[in-house]
Amino acid sequence: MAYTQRFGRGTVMGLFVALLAVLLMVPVGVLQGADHRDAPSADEDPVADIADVYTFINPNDTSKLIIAMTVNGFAVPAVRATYSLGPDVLYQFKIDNTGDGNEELVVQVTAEGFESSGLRDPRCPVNASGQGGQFIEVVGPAKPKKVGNVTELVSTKGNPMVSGCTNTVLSGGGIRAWAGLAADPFVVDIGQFNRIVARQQFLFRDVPASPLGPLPGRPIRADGTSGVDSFGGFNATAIVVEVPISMVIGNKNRTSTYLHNNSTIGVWGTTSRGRHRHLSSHHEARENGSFIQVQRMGQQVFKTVFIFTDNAAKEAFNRSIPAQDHTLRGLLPDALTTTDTDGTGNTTAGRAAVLTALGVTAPPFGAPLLLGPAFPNTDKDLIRNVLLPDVLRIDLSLLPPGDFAVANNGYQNGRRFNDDVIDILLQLSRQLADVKFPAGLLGGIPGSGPLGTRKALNCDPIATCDQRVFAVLQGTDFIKKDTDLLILNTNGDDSPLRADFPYIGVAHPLPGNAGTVGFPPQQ
Amino acid sequence: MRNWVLTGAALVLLVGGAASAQERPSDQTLRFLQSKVVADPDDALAHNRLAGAYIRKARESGDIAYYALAEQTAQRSLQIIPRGPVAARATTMMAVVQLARHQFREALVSVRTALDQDPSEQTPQAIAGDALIELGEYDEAGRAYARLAGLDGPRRPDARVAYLKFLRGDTPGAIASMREAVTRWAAAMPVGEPLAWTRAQLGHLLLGTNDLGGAEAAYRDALTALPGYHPALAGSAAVQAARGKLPDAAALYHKALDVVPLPEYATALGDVYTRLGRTTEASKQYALVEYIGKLSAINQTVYNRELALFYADHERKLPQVLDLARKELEARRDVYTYDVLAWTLYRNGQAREAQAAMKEALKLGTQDARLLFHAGMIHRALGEDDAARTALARALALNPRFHVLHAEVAASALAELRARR
Repeated sequence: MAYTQRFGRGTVMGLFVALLAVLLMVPVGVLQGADHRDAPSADEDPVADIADVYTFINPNDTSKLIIAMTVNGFAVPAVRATYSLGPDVLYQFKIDNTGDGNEELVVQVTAEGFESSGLRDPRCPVNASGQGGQFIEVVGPAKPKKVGNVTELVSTKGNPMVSGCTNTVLSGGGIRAWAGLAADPFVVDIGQFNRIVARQQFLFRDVPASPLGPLPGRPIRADGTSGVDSFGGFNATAIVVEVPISMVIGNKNRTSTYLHNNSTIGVWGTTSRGRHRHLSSHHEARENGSFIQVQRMGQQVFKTVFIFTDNAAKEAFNRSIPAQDHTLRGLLPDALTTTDTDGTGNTTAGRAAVLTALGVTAPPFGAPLLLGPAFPNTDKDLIRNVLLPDVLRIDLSLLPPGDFAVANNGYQNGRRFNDDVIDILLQLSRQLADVKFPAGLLGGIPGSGPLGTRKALNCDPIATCDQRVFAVLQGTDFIKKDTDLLILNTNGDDSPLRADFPYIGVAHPLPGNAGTVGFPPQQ
Repeated sequence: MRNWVLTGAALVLLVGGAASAQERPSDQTLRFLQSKVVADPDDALAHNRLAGAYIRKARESGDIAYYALAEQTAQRSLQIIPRGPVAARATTMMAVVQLARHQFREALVSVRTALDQDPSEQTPQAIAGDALIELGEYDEAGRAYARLAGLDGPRRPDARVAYLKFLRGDTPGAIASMREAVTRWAAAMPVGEPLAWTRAQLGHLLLGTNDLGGAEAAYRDALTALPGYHPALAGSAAVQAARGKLPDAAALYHKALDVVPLPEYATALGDVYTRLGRTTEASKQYALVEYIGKLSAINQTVYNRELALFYADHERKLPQVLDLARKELEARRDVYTYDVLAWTLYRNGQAREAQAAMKEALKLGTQDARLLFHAGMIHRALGEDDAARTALARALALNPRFHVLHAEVAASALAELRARR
């Protein structure tokens, strides 16, 4: 498998695993999306609530890097004009090209006006499709005036800059930008995941008989699928920016850092609000002076599964910076290695054997193993090292179509709109996260020995097992057809991507109206 | 009448059917979220989102039937996932519904349950504060809101804090906080009910200080955020009434009543007609108020205080109205409930008892002309002329046009008291 070969390129496959492990070990909150509406009461602040961050090399021009983020998650198509970028919010893409966890470059995006009738910026009248209204300004990549969670606007002079209306491809200064409502490309069966972690179900797909007994899940439908894309039909507001790779790749040696090589950069997104705000006569809240970080996001579902249900920790994370993420290492579980850690064969090979014995390594009851049966990891900190700091890592030397590499730099190399990031997470987690099983379980399976100094997910006793262990067991949420379960660069989304910039899919109309794209596709 | 049972619109949404060109965006939103629930009946989060949309629809339309749909949907969510963060969200929805039904103590129980399920939830803190205010637990309410003070953007509880400030007599501070809330909402979501509500609240505060221009602008802005928003229509009507433009006020009250027949709108319209000398039309509106009160048990709960005030103001059913007011005091013990009790006691000739209740109503120092008018009339009835003069003068100084009928009564009583000196 191509994926398996790519795993070998990076030791960081464990990163994925680590993430999965995190998913398993932390008293996780509700999985509402990659990071959709993760913070409490964030429903009331959707413009500053980052749903997802993406970065990938433009497949149509491999000299360019695409960076994107979505906000306004779960946007209902019926009320398209109510979703805008926040005129009081500074949206930033931050780039670390030295490996210190701090941003050396930023791309800043601001907006004026709203999409709504009567509140549109006068420079942006509504277009033929009923969209338009916000005037955006994109500046960068540029050296930030301040590094960290308090920042200022960079100068438009001497830096790449482009401006214009939403829903329009803007080009100038060597960069391109697009912002507007789009089909949310994120895919996950949230409904079933939440039932699993709440102990109402055990698996994504029903397994009527296993060595552990029947494990209830969703039934298989006539089309061979069983999952439901909980994001099907929803939109989100997207910002997509294209920059020349030459502007961001940097020249500092970072081989000894978390980036591992000199062609890899770290990318994350932030939202910030200013200390000084006033409302203009056009109802535009304008900011000046310093901006304080409201939220940050790098890898998919990191906060959701990693920053627990403790609001103070969540808020603290959102106000912190990646360079401080080493403080989170204690929250992550050990990765399995080739060394038996408890006298039961608790190794990557042992885990693969357990999964196989449970019958979840082949359809219809599970995805094939992604890492192979004996993944040669020797680093128990693999998960920690690949997940922290929480930034998307992208190796700019891996050019499309060869740029999709799972665990090469973390979960995956960069993140494309249609990467199956949830299945990647599930697959890596089930093979790498250490789990403490009850002594004697199924005759003493790997992981059922003494806990000792291991940091493992707790599944002892089985009756109170951390349900996230079951959530990852099948390695997929079965949104796609079983024949596609190992094709991880497609996620089964209900809306096609654009063929060219900005790539993200066209916004959904209301179901039943002209232009509806296969909604709901799985029912 | 749309308000009192499942409305036609709600029923259509329940049974589905093709979207019509005339369908409101909020109805289309409900239809979309209903389709998500149909697509995955076991998705508790989808149920939570639908319940939230029903609540927003109820707030937007004033149609309390949507709260019943929200309750049913949240209960279904709790059946799917009875524990944990998803259940906390559903339980929070239940608390919102209970708050809307004036089941304040029940709402507090739900809040505690929600926080037990997910301590990171912050919306329950806001609901707790709201319920505690209605129960007269102002310090505790302030502490609940303080727990949200560190939030950013529209999540910050400025509007709630504004109301608490107003109750405590800090009207300028209340207006400043409400303006901040408006700014935050306008920046985050420039259309929709939350911004319309916040602007309408600002209008109410400004109207209370006789800033008619400011109030009118706030109501106009609210209608921009949500066309046809009934609190803003009624507020605009009150502005016109204060200006003496009574036919314009009547027209606006009619528009508000067309959206939702709330008893306070019918009462206000009846008062405008009374002032205009159109007694037959006034009687029709007053009859409507009584009809609303009889229509269902839930109406008698939700509108109990408004009905008691209506009867007391218009000197109807005075013995029974005391029962109404006392019954309301069992449900909530805020300053306005004590005010209504005081006023009904006064109307029943029990001025001494009224004074005790009025003392409770004024304990926070709330700068509301209506409260001070009631206090002045009670003092007057007890022969406490100095106190009566002070209270009535303060009421009229705050807002010389605080009520289409009572402002004149207050002025007349004050003139008479001054003449006695």
